Amino acid sequence: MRELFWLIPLFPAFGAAFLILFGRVISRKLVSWLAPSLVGLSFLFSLLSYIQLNGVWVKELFSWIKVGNLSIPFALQFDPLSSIMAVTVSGVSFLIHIYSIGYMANDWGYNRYFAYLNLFTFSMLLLVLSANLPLMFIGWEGVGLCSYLLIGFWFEKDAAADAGKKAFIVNRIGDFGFLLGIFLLFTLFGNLSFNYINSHVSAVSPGIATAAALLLFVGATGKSAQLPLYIWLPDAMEGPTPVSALIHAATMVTAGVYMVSRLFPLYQHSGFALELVAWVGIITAIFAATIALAQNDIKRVLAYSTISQIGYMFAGVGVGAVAAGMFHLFTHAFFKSLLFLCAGAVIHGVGTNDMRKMGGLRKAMPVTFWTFLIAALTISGIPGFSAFFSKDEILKEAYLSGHKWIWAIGVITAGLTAFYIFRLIFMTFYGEYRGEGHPHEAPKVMLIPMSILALFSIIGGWFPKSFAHYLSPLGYIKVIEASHSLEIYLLGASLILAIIGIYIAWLVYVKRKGKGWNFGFVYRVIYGKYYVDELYNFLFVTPYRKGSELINRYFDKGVIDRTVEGSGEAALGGGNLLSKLQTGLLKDYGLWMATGIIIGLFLAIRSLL
Amino acid sequence: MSVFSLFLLSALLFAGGMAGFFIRRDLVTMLLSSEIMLAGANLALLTFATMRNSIEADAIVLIVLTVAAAEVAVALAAIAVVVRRKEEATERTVSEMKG
Repeated sequence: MRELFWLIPLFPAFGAAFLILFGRVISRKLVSWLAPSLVGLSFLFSLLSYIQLNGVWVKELFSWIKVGNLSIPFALQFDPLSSIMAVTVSGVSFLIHIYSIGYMANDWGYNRYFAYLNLFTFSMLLLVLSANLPLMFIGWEGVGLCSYLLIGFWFEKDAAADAGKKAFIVNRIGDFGFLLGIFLLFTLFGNLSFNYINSHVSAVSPGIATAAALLLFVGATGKSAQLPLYIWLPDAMEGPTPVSALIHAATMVTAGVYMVSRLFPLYQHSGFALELVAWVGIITAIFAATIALAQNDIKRVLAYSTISQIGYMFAGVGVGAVAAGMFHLFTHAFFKSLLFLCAGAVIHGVGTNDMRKMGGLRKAMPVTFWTFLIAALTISGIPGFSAFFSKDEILKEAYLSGHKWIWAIGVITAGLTAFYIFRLIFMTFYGEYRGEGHPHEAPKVMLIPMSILALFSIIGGWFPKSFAHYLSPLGYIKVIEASHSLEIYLLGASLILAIIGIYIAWLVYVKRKGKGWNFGFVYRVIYGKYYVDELYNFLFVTPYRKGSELINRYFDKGVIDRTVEGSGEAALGGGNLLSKLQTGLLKDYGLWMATGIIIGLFLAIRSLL
Repeated sequence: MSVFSLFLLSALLFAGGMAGFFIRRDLVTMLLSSEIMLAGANLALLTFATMRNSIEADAIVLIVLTVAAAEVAVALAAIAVVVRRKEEATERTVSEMKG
């Protein structure tokens, strides 16, 4: 596999190219076989490479850019970090391809959908397997493009088209920082391969390392939907639900966490940057979790939950526990894509996103209910389920590294998480059905991927050795051992809060049927998502519009238009003036000619003399 | 005849033609005047040819005569058209090119 792992991203690349070129003429049946099986091949290769992996594999395919002292090879790297990502990405992507066969069955853009999905898988695999920053940037932009294409997949809906644009523009802001970070790193190191940068960080001062790390982190906040650039992710839910599951929950949005883990020595060298990553992460975690408490759109609850969980990952990486962060990324990929696929099955069954029109679906959709319950128990951190291990690993590491406040906020967020996810369960599956028509269970082709993901949500955290042990070949992962009594005490805290959260959700939404609980002002603020969108509108969008109008009025109309019109008028006026010379009288022409000849002769004779 | 008197004659011819061109208004006379200018120029050329004992100038004169003959044919035809259309063939009747 060592010689063949570079084929992993190429299977979906081939699929994407083929479907984009011939998608209009080939049948849906062929697409249904081709697209998932190519991603399946990627998954197979990733898994085989993962099993055989020892140390770090780098494969240089060809020299990509060579200008002056800048030399960037097209090189892929397979090491413990990228292997986890490759297996997760291709595995989840494979399952979601299969699920999509059922979910998208009646959509007129079926072939286009799979072309984009394959393109996304290729870009994401390129992002995680690249051995240097510019190549990662290609994948980074590629997933952004696919995200845009798939959010706006139903572009005839205005909301979807707008959400696509919003995602793209917000991501561009982040990517601008990312690009500046790459430039800065190039001027500092002259070489952009991860291994080179990571092994030479000590050559630069921590101050400049902080600058580079923060610029790259701006990109990460955009791509991974962290404060202050998280606003695009909730709107991204306008896309098809499997896309939300794959791109906006399991894979693409975790790219920022992966990037920080990849360049962890740089962040560690800076110190301040790492601290900031941790704080941005944990504040985003609690911020998004509180918004999720009051949303009524089933997918938006999950979107804010994703933002919150990615915040956890950043907090984990930020307190120095790369392994814990990556572990949570790994388990999150399963349970969050499962949550979305279940939500997709529910939406498929009832035909609306609004939880107020659901309820009592437990009997109509038993498989969906059970898989949803497994995912909910997982995200709540109930012992035995995968996220229990990964989330508490993060909280434990935060506590042990001395970040007591981050630990405290993380524990509170765990309680909020449990509340909002069980609020969702109770509103959707318990009580009386409040919608129209008869809800029906999803087809098998959707239920099977859900069941597989449910299985992985449970067993995804059962590692015999710690994640840190597996990542240790990278050389910068440290393993902290906590005493057993402290560990139990730490676990207890978050577990108690989670159970309290579930109990309150049960109290409010099952026992009291959601009535009689009104927090007034606080509720309205949370329901309005802290009015951040309105704030950004006020701070950026409106001034930008106003400024554009002013520039339009004074510069475009006043300067540019006047210049263009003025030059035309000048030509016209000059022509009028010159045309006065044309008298139409032969004599005058003769006179001009004679005058010219005389002057010419005079000059000629004078030069002779 | 001395060379000087020949040049004087050619200068007089040219000047007379030019004066006629600028003073007279009817197109036929103006055409005539320009022919006189050509004759003056031709005379000067022939004088030079004789002086330098060369045949090149003679050749140029022949070309000038040919072109002048052609030009007269075209010009007279044009004047005939002007007369037919405008009753009168003076400079003022053909000043449509006025800007």
